[in-house]
Amino acid sequence: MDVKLFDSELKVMDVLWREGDKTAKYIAEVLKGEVGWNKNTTYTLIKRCMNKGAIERSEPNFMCHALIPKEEVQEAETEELINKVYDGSADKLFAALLGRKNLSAEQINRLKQLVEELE
Amino acid sequence: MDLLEMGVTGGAMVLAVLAVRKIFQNKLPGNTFVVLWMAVALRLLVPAAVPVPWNAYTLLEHFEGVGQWGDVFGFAAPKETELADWRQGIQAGEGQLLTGNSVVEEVQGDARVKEGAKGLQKFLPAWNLIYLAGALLCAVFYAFAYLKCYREFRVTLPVEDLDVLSYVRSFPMKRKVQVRESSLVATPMTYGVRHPVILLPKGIKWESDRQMRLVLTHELVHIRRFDVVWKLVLAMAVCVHWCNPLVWVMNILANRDIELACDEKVVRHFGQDSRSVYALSLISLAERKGRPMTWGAGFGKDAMEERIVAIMKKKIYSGKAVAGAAILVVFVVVLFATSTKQTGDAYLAEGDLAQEGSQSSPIQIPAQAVPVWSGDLREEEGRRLAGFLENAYENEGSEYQKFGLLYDDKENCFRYQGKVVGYFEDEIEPGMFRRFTDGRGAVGLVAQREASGAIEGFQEVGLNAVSTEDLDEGGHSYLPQTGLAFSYKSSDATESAGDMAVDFPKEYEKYGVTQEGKYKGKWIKVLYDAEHCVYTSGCDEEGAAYLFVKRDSKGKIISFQEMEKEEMQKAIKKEGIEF
Repeated sequence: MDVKLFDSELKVMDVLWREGDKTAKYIAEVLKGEVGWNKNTTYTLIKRCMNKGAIERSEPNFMCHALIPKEEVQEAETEELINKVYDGSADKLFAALLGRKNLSAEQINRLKQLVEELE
Repeated sequence: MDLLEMGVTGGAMVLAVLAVRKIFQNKLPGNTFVVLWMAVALRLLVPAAVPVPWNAYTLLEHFEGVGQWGDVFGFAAPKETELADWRQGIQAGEGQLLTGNSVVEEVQGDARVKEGAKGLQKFLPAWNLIYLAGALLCAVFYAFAYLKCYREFRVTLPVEDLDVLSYVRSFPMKRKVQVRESSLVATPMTYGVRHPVILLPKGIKWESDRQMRLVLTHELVHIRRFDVVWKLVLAMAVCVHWCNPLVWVMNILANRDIELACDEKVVRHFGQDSRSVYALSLISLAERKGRPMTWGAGFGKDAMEERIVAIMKKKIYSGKAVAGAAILVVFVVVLFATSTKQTGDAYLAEGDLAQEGSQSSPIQIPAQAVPVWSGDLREEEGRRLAGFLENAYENEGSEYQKFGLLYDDKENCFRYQGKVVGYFEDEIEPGMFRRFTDGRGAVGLVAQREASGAIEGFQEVGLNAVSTEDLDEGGHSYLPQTGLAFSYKSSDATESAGDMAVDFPKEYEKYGVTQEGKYKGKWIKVLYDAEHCVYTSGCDEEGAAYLFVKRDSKGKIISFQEMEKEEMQKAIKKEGIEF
């Protein structure tokens, strides 16, 4: 089975791997303490894990069960996603250190030269 | 709302700041340009409390505002407008910066101006719908991008690197700054205003402790300066003025200048020696950022190059440079961001003209022109006409005088080359005539106007060419045996005696006044609304309504009161009205 999870989703899985089947409410409480997420954030992530087939839920109380062992999971490649999220106007709406455009190798070299020249 | 005016003056200001930026870049503190851009953004948005037009009424008002400006700018060359701005700007000083357009707001409340805009409404809705759609689209686009990012940022994990955390804690800041990491961002960034967060790319590897501090300081400076808020203000300006290319230019350059000013502060914080380390840190972070760009290279001046040059060339500015920058800011702001009262006056004048033209119905008459119009004009003619006439003569009197139409107060008549004028006609705007007749007259006159509306002169016409029927058509004109009769008449007047639509100001509808002249089912005998509308009808007194309208200083209706006849008479006694 090949499930790709992001770091934040792995954080949710960690709780289940560590402590066995737990209710969504319990996971939310643990993660609130650990990483400061609010309840809805954790629930959103549990839902994403369910959609990817990593978590199965059962009633009552939204009991969560990890469907895959820790060893089988690999962290998802994020480059594609970076571009998705970061596209558009994120750098206009948030204060980003660098602009959206990536620089080519020649441009990088030219910039380094420029620093030397101006020094 | 005078969006167009804000767009034009704001656009002019963008050009000014562009010029200033071109000349003084790297010569003045970077904050200078940030402050200037913010002044432009505020000029573009204030008083742009552009209310989302929730109901048709506010929408209409909005249309009228734009329409009026469209009109003004249609006639006046932009250059003149700008000059007016300049003059006004110099006179008015900075105090006018934010309140400048209140003049227009006041005028807007005036029913008379609304009348004037009527003709323009016909073709404006289409333009306005396109405008609104565009603004909405921009806003939705930004909101969507914002929400999408925000949702992703929410699920980020806190950074556990103790060096990073202790450095951020040591930075003096009132708000608590969180440091989080995400695999979804490629470069460090900040978001959040009350609970600011520095978001680092997951697994960022610092080349040195110094690089880490430089980068974190950059983000902390952003937070301390509330740059995220300013970026949002810029985005708003773009939404509101989406059809103005200069505003997009401003958006791009202002965002760049925010970064440059931030870099400058970082360099100042760590000292001149840190310049090259900082510049190289940025370059190496950019290098590791991800796939090299495959398109769009070499488009315009490279922002990154501009930035590196700025960092390397920045020096510590002397007090003189700072003072010079401050003066420059004040200068530009005063020149470009102040009110356009001059234009506002022109606008008023337009409104006044339109007001006269709009009196196709004899009923809605400004109080100062004639105290009362009753159902039967003929009876009242003697004492009322004189007042009406003199007033109207005053409005364009100087023009009329110039071409030889003189008023003779002894005889109460108009004379042209010594002869009493028996018939006078002036088409003050297409389809709208000002006329007077005088049974004693010996000559007829028709005013000749150029296409622009200016009076060229008078043409004499024979009196017998004017038939009585012709004048009676509108239901309120006639040839008196003696004395003067004065009227405005629209050539497309539709009302006929008996079935007359009263052209009340639109705002009365809310209070239950119908265009046929009824209030809550009762016929209106008298309606008094000082300086806006005075109306009496010839209806039976029994069961008729007497209405007294009160307005506040801004011309907004505050009460719409029904009174007894005696009470009403007392209330308006000082106006000398009898009924």
